[in-house]
Amino acid sequence: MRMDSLPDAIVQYILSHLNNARDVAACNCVSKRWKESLPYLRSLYFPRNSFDSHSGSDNPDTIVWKMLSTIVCLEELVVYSPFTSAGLALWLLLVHSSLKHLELRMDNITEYQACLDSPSKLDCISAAKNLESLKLWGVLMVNPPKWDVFKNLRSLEIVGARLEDPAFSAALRACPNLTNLVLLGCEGVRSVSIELPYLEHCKLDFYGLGNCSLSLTCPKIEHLEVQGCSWIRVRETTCLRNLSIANNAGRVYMVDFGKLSALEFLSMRGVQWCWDAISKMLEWSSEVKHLYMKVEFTGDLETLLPFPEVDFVEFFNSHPKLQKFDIHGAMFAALCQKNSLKNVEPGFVIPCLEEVVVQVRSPLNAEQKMSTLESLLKYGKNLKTMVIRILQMKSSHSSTDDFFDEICRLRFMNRKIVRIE
Amino acid sequence: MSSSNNSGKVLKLKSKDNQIFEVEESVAIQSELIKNVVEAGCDIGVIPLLTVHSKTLRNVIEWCQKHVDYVEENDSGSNEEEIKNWESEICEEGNNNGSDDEETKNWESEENNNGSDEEEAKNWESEGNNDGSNKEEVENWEWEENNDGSDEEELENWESKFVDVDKDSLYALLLAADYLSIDSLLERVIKQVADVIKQCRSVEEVRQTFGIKSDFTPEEEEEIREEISWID
Repeated sequence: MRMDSLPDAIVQYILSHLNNARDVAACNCVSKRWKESLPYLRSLYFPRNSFDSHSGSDNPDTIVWKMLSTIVCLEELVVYSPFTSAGLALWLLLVHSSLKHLELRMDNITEYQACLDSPSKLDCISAAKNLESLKLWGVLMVNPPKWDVFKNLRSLEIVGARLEDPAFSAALRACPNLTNLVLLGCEGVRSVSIELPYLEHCKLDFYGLGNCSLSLTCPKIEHLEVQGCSWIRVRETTCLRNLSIANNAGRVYMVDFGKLSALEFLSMRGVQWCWDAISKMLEWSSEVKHLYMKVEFTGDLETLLPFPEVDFVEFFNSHPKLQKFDIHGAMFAALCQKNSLKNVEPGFVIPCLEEVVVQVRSPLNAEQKMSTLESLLKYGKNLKTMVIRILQMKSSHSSTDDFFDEICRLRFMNRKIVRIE
Repeated sequence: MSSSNNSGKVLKLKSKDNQIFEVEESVAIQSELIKNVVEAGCDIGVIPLLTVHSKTLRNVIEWCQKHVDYVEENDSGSNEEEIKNWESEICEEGNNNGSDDEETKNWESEENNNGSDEEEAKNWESEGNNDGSNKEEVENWEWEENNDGSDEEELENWESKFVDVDKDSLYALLLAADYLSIDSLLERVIKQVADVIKQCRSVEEVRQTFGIKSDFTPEEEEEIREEISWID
C-alpha cells in the first residue's frame, strides 16, 4: 500500500480514528508526516496497563503530559492508568479549554491519605470548565470537592464510590444543568436530596443496609432507577416513563410519587416491601404497559409475610393498558387466592395483555394457581406468550408432581402460547 | 436498479482501462464528482474516470447500488410495488439484448479492439443477462425487507465484508472513494485502514504494512523511540 501518495487530509482523517495512546505513540514514530498529522486528534485513551512495563526515565504523568502537549484541540481524555493530582492539574492546564469529555480512574476509595498540601484529584477536575461529561471510577468524596460550577456538564457518572451526604450534595450543586446522573456501587450515603431542573435520566445504586432516603425534585425526569432506598419521594412525575425500584438489602417502606400518568414501565424488586408501598405503587401506575414484579415478601416489621389477597379482576381492570406482565415473587400467589376470581363478570377482558411471565414457586394452592393461569389465557384475548417458570419445587411431595402435570396439560392445550422454562 | 425516483436515466462511466459501465443516475450520483458533472449538464456521452481501474470501479458501483437499495428499502411506501417494478426492470435489462449489442458496437467503434477488451465486454454482457442470479437477488432483497429490526446491522455486516480485502484493493478503493467523493465509502475504508493500523504491534510493523520509509534522521529516530519506550 502506498500510503505516501495519499493526501495529507486523508492521512489525518485516518489517524484521527486512533485514540489508544499506545497506537498514537507508535504512529508518532512512523514518519514525519504521520507525526505531523497527530496533533489533530480529538480523543486520547490510556488503558489501565499503559505503564505497567515501563521502566524509562519519565514518569507516567510526564509521558501523558508530553502526548497532550502535542495535540491541538483535545475533546476527550480517558485515563485508566494510575496518576497523581499534580499530574492531573498539569494535564488540565493544557487541555481545559477544548476538553468536553473526561473519564478518570481515581482509584482512591481505599486511600485515606490526607492530601493537605496538594489539592485532591477531585478538586483538580474543576479546571476543566467546559466539560460536558464526566465519569469517575473509584471515588472518595468525603469532603465537598472544591468545584466551581460546570455550566456545560450534562452527564455525571460515578462508579464505585465512598460518599458523604454533604460532599455529594455540594458536588451536585456544582452541576446544575445535568441531564444524566448515574451513581453505581456507592457506599456511605444516608439521605440524598436531588434538585436538578433538567435531569432526565437518573440511576442510583446504593450499597449498605438498604435504608437510604431519597428525595428527587426534577420536573423533567423520564427515567429513574433506584436501588437501596427505603424511603423515596419523587414529587414531579409528569414526564416519568420508566421507573425501577429495588432494594436488595433492606425494606422499602415509604414511597411518595403521586399519580404516575406518563408511566409506561414499572419494576418493583426486593426482599421485603411494606404493603402500603406496594399497593400505592400499583394504584398510581394505572397507565403502565409493562409491569415487572419481583418482591418476595411484605410486612411492616421484621417478620416476612406473604402478600394479602389481590383481586384478579380489580387488578386487571385498574391496569387496562398492561401489555407485558412479569409475575415473580409473591405476587402470583396473591392473585391466586380463594376469592380472587369471584368478581368475574360477563364481558370482563384483559384487553392489551400480550406477554406474561409467571414464576411458580410452590405447589400449594395448586387448584387456584391453575385456575388463575387458565383465567389469564381465557380473558387475555390478545395474549401471545405465556412463560411459566418453575422454580425448585421440592419434589418429595406428590402434589408437586400433580401440579407439574397440570401445568404440562395446560401447555399442551395452549401450545402456541404457553412455554415452560 | 431503482424505480422510485427520477427518469431512470442511465449514465456511462469509463474506467481508466477503457471499460464502459452503464449505471443508473441515482446510483452514480452517490459520487459528488459525478453529481457535479450531471448538474453542470456535462453528462452527455461518456464520463471518463481517468484514475479508476475497472476492477475497482465495479466494486465502487456495487457499493453505491447497495446504498441506494438500502435507502429505498427503508422508505415507508408501497414496497410491494417497488419490488415488482424492480423485478421487471432486472428482467428487462437481462433481456434487452438489443441495446447491449448496440452499446458494445459503440464502444468498439470508439476504441481499438484488442482481444482482452472484447473478452471483458462479453463478460459484462453475460452479467447483465444472468436472470438466475438476478432473481436470487430479488428474493434475498425481499427477505431482507421483512427483517426490519436488523436492517442497519445487515448493512454494517455487508460493509464490513466489503472492506475485508487485501491491502492493495483497499488502497485502490480509498483512492477511488476520494477521487469520486463518495463519503460513505471513504469513511468506511478509512475506518478499515485505521483498524489495520491498530492491529500492528510495533512501529516496524506499521511501516512494513503500509510501505512507509522513515524520514527521520538517526538522532531524531532515537529520540522518539526513547520517548515511546513505554509502549513496549
